[in-house]
Amino acid sequence: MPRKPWSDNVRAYALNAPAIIVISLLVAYPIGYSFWVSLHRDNLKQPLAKRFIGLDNYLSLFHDDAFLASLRVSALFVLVVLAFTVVLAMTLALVLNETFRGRGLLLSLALLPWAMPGVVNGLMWRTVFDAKTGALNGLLTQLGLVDGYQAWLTSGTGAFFFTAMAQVWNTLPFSVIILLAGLATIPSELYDAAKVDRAGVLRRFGQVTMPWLTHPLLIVLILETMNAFRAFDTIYVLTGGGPGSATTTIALLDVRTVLTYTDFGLGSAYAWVITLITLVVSIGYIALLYRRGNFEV
Amino acid sequence: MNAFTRREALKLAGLGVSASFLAACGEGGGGSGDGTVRFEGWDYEAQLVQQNLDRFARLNKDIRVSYTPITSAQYVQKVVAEFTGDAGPDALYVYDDSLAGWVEAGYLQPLDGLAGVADVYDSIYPSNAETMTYKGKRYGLPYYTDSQCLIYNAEILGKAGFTTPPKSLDELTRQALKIKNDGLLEYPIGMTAQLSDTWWAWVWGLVFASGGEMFADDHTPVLKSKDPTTKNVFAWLRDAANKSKVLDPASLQLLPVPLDNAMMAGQYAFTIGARYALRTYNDPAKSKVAGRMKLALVPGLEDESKGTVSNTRMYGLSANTQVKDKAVKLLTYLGGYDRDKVPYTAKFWFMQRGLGFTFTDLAKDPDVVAALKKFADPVVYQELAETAHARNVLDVPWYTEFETEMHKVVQQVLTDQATPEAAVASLDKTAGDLKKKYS
Amino acid sequence: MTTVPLRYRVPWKKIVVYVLAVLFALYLVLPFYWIVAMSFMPEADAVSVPPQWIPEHPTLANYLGFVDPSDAQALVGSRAIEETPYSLLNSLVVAASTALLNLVLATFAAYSFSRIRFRGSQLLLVLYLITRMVPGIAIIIPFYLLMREFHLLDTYLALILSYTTFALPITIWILKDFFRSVPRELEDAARVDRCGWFRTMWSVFLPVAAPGLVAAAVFSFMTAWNEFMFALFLTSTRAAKTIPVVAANFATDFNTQYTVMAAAGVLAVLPPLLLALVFQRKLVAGMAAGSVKG
Repeated sequence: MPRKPWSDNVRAYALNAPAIIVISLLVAYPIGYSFWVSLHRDNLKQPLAKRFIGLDNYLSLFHDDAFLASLRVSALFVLVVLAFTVVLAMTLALVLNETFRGRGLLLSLALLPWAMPGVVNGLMWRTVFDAKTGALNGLLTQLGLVDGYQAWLTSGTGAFFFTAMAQVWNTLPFSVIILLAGLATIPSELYDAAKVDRAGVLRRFGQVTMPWLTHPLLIVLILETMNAFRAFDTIYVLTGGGPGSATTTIALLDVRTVLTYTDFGLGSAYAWVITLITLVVSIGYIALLYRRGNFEV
Repeated sequence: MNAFTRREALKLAGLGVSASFLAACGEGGGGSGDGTVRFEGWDYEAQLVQQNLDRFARLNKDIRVSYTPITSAQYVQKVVAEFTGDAGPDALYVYDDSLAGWVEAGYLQPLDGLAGVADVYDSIYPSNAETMTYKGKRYGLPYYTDSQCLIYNAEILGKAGFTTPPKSLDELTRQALKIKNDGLLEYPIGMTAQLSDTWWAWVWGLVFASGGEMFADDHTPVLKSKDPTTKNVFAWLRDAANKSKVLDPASLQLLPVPLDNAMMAGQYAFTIGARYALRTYNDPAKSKVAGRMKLALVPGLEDESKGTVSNTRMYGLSANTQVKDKAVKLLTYLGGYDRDKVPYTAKFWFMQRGLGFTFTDLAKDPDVVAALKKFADPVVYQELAETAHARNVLDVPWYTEFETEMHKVVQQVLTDQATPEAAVASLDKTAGDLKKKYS
Repeated sequence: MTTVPLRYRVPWKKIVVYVLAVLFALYLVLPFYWIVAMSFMPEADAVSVPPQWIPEHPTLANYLGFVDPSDAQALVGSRAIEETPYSLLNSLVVAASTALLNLVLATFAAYSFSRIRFRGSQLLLVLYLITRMVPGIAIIIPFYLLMREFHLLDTYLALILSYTTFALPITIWILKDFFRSVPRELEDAARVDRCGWFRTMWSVFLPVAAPGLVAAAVFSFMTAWNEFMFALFLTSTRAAKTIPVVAANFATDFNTQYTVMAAAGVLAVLPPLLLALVFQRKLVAGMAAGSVKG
C-alpha cells in the first residue's frame, strides 16, 4: 500500500527545519534576550540599580540629544551611500553588460572591494586620506588641484563625505552583481524590437531595461539600506565617529553605549530602534513595488 | 601621559608572543580548577611581561601563571564581557578610570590587610595611592604611572633663538609664532585630538597646569561657573588653532602613534604628552630627532606651571578568584616589593621602557637616575611627578561618558565651531544630565 | 563617379562605454593598488611626501616578516605578525565551513520556497530577513554568554555557527529565486524514472542550479571572511582569531608600521579575491534569478 505522502505544508516546514533550528537557537534567543534587556535599566556601572522599567528606555529616546543627532547622521549617511551606490552600481552594471575588450578584467576589478573586510577598508582609506602623508593629498597636489596637503577628515562635512565614499567603495560589488544579473536576464529580443522601432538609447533604457531592473533594484535598495544603517567597521576605523559627532551614526552610538559605557539597557533599545527603522523602510520599498506588480515571494 | 585608544594605541601595545594558554580554548570556566593563576593584561610589550612572569615562576616554583595579553583597544570590553560571563581572570591590569565601575560591578576585591600591601601604599606618591583607593578601600597595586609634560624639540627652539622652554601658554604662543614666522615649521604644535575611547590627558594637563579643576571634590562641575580655568584654556586652544594658527588643524586626525611618528620626524616643535614618550623620541634607533627632545613643566595660563595630571595603571584582584593566595603573591611581586625590598617589577619597567614608577625611593636609585639621564632631565622629571595630581572625578559611573563628550566639545572649540563659553556650558549640562541619569 | 561612403556614425556608445570602463577601473583599483605598493615599500618611503607611486626601493621584507620575523620586525608588532599566518588559516577554515553549512541548510529551505506553496511561506521568509535587521551589537553579549555556556569560546565552531546564521537569510533568498528558474520538467522526468527525492536533487536538480549554489557559497564565504565584531569577541588566541581581528591589531600596536599593516591588508584580501575571480561568471549567472518568467 503506497505511503500517504506528506502534505505540502509538512514537507515545506520539514525542509525549513534545519535552518529554523539553527537560527532560532543562535539568533532568536539572543534577539529575544536583547529585547528583554531593553526593557530594563541595566548598566554594569551600577549593577545594584538594575530593574525592570518597561518602555522607559524607548520613551527617553525622544529627549536623547545624542540619539536624535545620531539618527540624523544615520539618515543622511544612508541617503548619501544609497544614492551613490545606486548610481555607480547601475552605471557600472550597464557598462559591464556591454561586450568590449577588457570586460572580464573590469568584472574582476568590480569584485575587488567586496573581498576587503570593513576594518581593512577603513585602515586603507585612512592611509589614503591621511592629512600628512596620504595618497589622495599626494595625487591632488601633483595634479595641481589643491595647494597643499589638506586635513580631509577634520571637518564635519569632509569626514562625513569621505566616510560615505569609503563605505560606497566597499559595498559596491554586491549591488553591481545583482544589477548585472538582472540585466543579463533581459531577453535580447526586446532590445532588437526597440531598435526596430528606432527607439533611442534613453528610450530603450526607460522602456526595456528599467522594468526588468525593478526587482533587482528593490533587492539592492533593501539590502543596502540594511547594511548602511548597521554600518560600523569602516566608520569606526576611519573617524571613530568624529570630528565631534559628525560621523556618529546610530550604529556607532550603539556600540559605544553598550561596550564603552556598558549601558546594556539603553544600548539594546537603540539596537531595536535600528531594527524597527530598517524594517519599516524595507516594508516601504516592498509595498511600493508590490503595487507595481513586481514583487513576489 | 600616553593615551590608549581603540586603534593605534600608544597604549603600550603589544609585541610579544602570546604564548597563551587560554583556558578558554574550549573551556571558559572562571578558574581552571588546577591552581593556575589566570592573569590578563592589555598587550603592551607582552614579551617583556612574559619574561618577568618567567622570573616569577622561577622564584615561586609552586605557582603557575597563565598570561593572556588582550588587544589594548578592546581590553575593557573584553574583560567586561568575561566577567559578565563569570569567566574573568584571577589577576589583571586595571585602568584608573575603570576602577570605580569595576568595583561597583563586583569584579574586584579589596586588598586591605593583605601581606605587603600596606608597605606599598606607604611608599608611593599620594596621588597614586588615592587613585587606587575607592570608597576608602584599596583595590590595586601599582603597575605604572605617568604625568603629562611639555615635550619640545630643543633644536628647533634653538634655531628660533630660544634656549628655554615656555613657562606659560602665552609664552608658548610667542615661541610657536616665532618658529612659524621664521619659516621653520608651519604648525609648531601638535596634539592628539582624534576621537578615541580613552582620555585626552593633555586637556586635563593644561587645566591642572593652570591651577584649575573641572570638578569639585564632591563631583559637582565647576567648569562653567566657579572656575573659569577650563574656559580660558579652551580660549587659548581656539586662538592657537584659529588666530595665531600655531596648532596644527590636522591634530583632529592624530592618534598617539601618528603623533609620535610626527614628533620623531621633527614635524612638530611642541606637544603635551607622557614623560615616557621621551624615551622613544630620544632613541636614535627609532627617531630622527634623538637627543634633541626635552621635557618641561606643562605651561598654564599663569606665569608658572601649577602642576599637571597623572594617571595610574594598576594590578587588581578578581573578586571571585579561586586561587587567592597565589594570585596575591603574583600581585605583590608585580606591584610591590620583592624579598630584597626593591620594587623589582616597577624598576624593571622603567629600565626597559621608561614607564613611570610610583615608588618615591626609586627616584634615588642610581641605576634609575643613570637611565633617566639618557632621555630626560631627572630634576624636571621628578618635579612633574611631585606636582602631579589625579583627576578627582574618576569615581563616578558616568566619567567615561563625560570624557567622550569633552573630546567632542574640544574638537568643536579647535575648529571654531563653538565658543569657549558655549563649550563649558555644554559640558556643564552634560555633567548634570549624566548625574541625573545615573542617580 | 566617386563612391559615396556609407555614412560613418561615430560610435558614441562605444566611446562612452570605454571611457566609463576606464574610469571605473581606476576607481576600483587605485586605492587597493596604493596598499599593495605600500606593502612593498620600506616604512620611510611609505610615508614620504610626495608619495612614491611606484616603490623606489621595493622590498619583500614586510611579507617575509610574517614567515620569519627579522629582529627589527620582532620589535614592531611581533605578536600580530606572528598571528597573521594562523589567522589566514583560521579565516579560510571558518569561511569555507560557513559556505558549506550554508549551502546545505539553505538548499533545503530554498527548495521549499521555490517548489512548494505552503501556508506561512511569506511570513517565514520575512522572519528570516528580520533576523538580519538586528544589528550585531544587540546580540553580541547574549551570544557571547551562549558560546561560553557551550564552551565554544575561541573555537572555529562558534564562528561558523554565528556566520551561518548571518548568511542564511540572504542565501535562502538567493537560492529560492534561482531554484524557481530551474524548469520543473527536469524533476518530473526524474520522478518518472522513480528517483527518490535525494537522488533527484543530487544528480538532476543541483547540477542545473550550480550557478545559484556558487553565488550562495561565495556570498556566505565573503560574509564570514569579512566579519569583525563577533570574531573579536568570540576569539582570543591564534587558535581561532581571524584575519580582520589581526589586521585591526596592527593599528593598535605601539610601533606599528604602515607597511606591515598594508601587507597584512593585502593578505586579508587575496583569498576571497581569488575566490571571486575564479567564480565570477557563475556568480553573475547565479544571481540572475527568478526574473526569468518561464
